[in-house]
Amino acid sequence: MLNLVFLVVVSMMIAMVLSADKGLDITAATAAPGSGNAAGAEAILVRVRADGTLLVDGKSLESERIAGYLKSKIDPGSSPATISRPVLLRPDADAPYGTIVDALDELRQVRARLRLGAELHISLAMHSESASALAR
Amino acid sequence: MSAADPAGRPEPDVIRARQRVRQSQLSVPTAAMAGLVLLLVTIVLVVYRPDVDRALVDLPRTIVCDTVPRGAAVISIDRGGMMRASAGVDASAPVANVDELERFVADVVSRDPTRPFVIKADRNTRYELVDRVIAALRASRAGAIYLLAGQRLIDEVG
Repeated sequence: MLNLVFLVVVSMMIAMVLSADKGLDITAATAAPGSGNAAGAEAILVRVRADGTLLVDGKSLESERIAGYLKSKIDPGSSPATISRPVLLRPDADAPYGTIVDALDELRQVRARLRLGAELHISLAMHSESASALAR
Repeated sequence: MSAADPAGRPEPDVIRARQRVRQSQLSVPTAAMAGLVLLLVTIVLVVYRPDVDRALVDLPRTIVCDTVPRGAAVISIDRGGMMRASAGVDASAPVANVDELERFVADVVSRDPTRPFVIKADRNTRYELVDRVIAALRASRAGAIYLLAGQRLIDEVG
């Protein structure tokens, strides 16, 4: 009986984990300018075009190569490695939503891939507000 | 030593032992069964989550995933751009336009300022629509905002 109860409890825990909804927390990425998210430094601009392609600081890049590009943006001499410049994700109005989520997902993985000491400061530019205010 | 007297009747101890065996075979473990049923009902109650939004969308998939809190309010956008909203308890209802969505969000936030919001959008939705939803959430000072996504498998990477 005890074994059965244990099995049921374990099953319940697994079911709870599997049934939980997953998603990207963008609370900080969409925080209002000046709320402590973006530093004052010039932002690294990631533009998502309507055809789903990416322009990173004006250069066309595949999403898988974003981490490689950002490696060159690590603050010189920082230990652990840090990228203090904020990243501004600016999608075109007609860009497919899935591509933006893909780009966000890639940016969220940069810390692990480059072994950074802190998360990137990612901001999602809003069309309904001044994107330049976010980029500053 | 024989278990029966000369008349062929079994000893009283043997009779009692046989009765005990018979009783144990006949008894139904109702207490254990009730406990098990209670446990199963508890599991169902804990694990089961009614899907408040039935909009059919092709979700984007990500490797990095956060767990969306239970009871989050849901705003869905299907491929055709149709918006639906739910406060997280009742089934979602269609929302005609962004103004109506803003009123809905303001109402939810006024009742529970910490209520998280989930945007459930089809991956082919134009970003402009999602942008308007995020703007409405920010305008109402909504708490946490999540983009609902499916888990991307390692085999799919690269």
